[in-house]
Amino acid sequence: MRPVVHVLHKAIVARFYEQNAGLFLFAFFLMFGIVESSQIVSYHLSLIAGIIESTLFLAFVNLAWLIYLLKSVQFVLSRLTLPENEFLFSIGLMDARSQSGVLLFTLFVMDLPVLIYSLIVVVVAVHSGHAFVGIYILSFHLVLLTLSTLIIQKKINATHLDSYSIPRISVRWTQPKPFALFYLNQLTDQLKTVMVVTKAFSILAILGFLQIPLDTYDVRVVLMGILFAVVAHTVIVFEFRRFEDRYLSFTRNLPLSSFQRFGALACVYSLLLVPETILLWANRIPFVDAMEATLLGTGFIVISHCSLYLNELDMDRHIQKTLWLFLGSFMIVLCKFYRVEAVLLWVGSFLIFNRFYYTYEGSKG
Amino acid sequence: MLKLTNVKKYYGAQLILDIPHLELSARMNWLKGGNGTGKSTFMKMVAGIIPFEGSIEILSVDLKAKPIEYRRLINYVEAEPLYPPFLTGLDLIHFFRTTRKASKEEVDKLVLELGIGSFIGNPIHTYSSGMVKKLSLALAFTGKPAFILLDEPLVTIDQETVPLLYQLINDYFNRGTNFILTSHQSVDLDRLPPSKELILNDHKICVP
Repeated sequence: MRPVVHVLHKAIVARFYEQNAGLFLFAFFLMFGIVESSQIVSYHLSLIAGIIESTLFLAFVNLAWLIYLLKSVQFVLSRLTLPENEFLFSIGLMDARSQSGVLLFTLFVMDLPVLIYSLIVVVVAVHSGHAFVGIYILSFHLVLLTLSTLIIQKKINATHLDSYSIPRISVRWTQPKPFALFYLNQLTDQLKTVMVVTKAFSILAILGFLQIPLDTYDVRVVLMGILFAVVAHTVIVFEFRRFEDRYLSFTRNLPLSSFQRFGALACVYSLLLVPETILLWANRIPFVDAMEATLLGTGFIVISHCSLYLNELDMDRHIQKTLWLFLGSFMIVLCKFYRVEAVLLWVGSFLIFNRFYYTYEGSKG
Repeated sequence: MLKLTNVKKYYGAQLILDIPHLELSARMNWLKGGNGTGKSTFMKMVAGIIPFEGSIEILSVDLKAKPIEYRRLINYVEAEPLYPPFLTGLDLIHFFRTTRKASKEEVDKLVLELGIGSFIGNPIHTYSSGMVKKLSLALAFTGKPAFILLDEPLVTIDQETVPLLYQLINDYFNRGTNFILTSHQSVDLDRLPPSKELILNDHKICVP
């Protein structure tokens, strides 16, 4: 079985970690980068206590784990359909138990980041007298991994049958799509998990800041919430740039001015942040404050996109730059210079875009 | 027509093209050269897609001085075009029609002539490579460009489409459009307007 596991590791698992490196880096930052090193342990113990003691929190975390596992299963299924991986269907020649073994192990390795954290939660739960929560979490993973293994096994053994799939509910868009929707369509079509995780974190960040008890209303709380929300979009910004490089290079030949191109980009990110804007209005933030927060947020995210024209695409560097920008913006908001910053972000974005859009030429350069 | 002056193109430190002076007088041009000689780089450079040193002009419109006006004069289709898989061909056709200011009748005619009407309403991920190529050819002929650059136009299209493509090239040529083509496939030169060869070798282009 070892050679089969080895090949599956190279053809699927390694590709999975490679393709999602950005998401992992970002998740790692959220888990360990936003807290001072001296407080990491206590921060995580509080987080784990929340998971153990609050059913709602546990349900939310379970949902995140489920989404991650579904993404893994979907990745395996999509890799199996690639022409170069057709040979993997010869796993179907093995006996059922061996098939389950290698596939379960493959999924286990892909699910490791979640499983390791879950194990820590289980240990803390048992130590704090909540053994039933620990048993529940272990059962949760065992059942999901088993079901996922069966789904993939069925796919491998049923190549001769018509595949049954849940009918996709899709709204047929009969009108031609405006350019800004090309990007958002990529999000809904190919980056569903990233979108759900990002939007969940973004909305929670805003709601979290709005819950901070204050004697008098202070717009800076709203602005800080928006800053956290837009930082959550770091991976999406990178994916949008990668999408541009890969699929939209044909648009560089079109007779459009820098203003038109930049305007389209501004539209893309304004549309992307519509849920956050609605959330601010729904929470009765004064109109002017909500507008300022939206302008600051979109300015931040647009300059983050434009900065990716400066160098070859590199997720590591992108995350670092975004975090520095975030820290700077945070301080500026605290000092109440946020209006100046919003203007600078927009002007700076356009200047970078205008100067570097056509000089960027990706990995060949 | 098309004029290149002191054009150099590097990838990193590696020199790919070095063209001190080139003026294309012919209206139908065949760019020839082995693999890796820089044909596609030349096409992309002339199409205004990638940066370069020097100047490129079409009808005295300089790419660097008047980029929008210049790009209005040139259409380009890659050898292996790649489009967002979730878009439909119609999305792209509408997009090109808007940006290249082409009429609906003109685009409908192209769709009809290339026989792509039956599938352009479907998402691109359902297309075969030949169907994607046909779509890209329809996009290349959209608008009223002075130049159309076709990089390997015969790759992946079926035998039935080849005469249709020849016909399109002839029609557009007769209307005044100029062409630069590359092809490793054998081309029936008798069915195309008379052409001039451009040979790419050792970073340079020579006109025999």
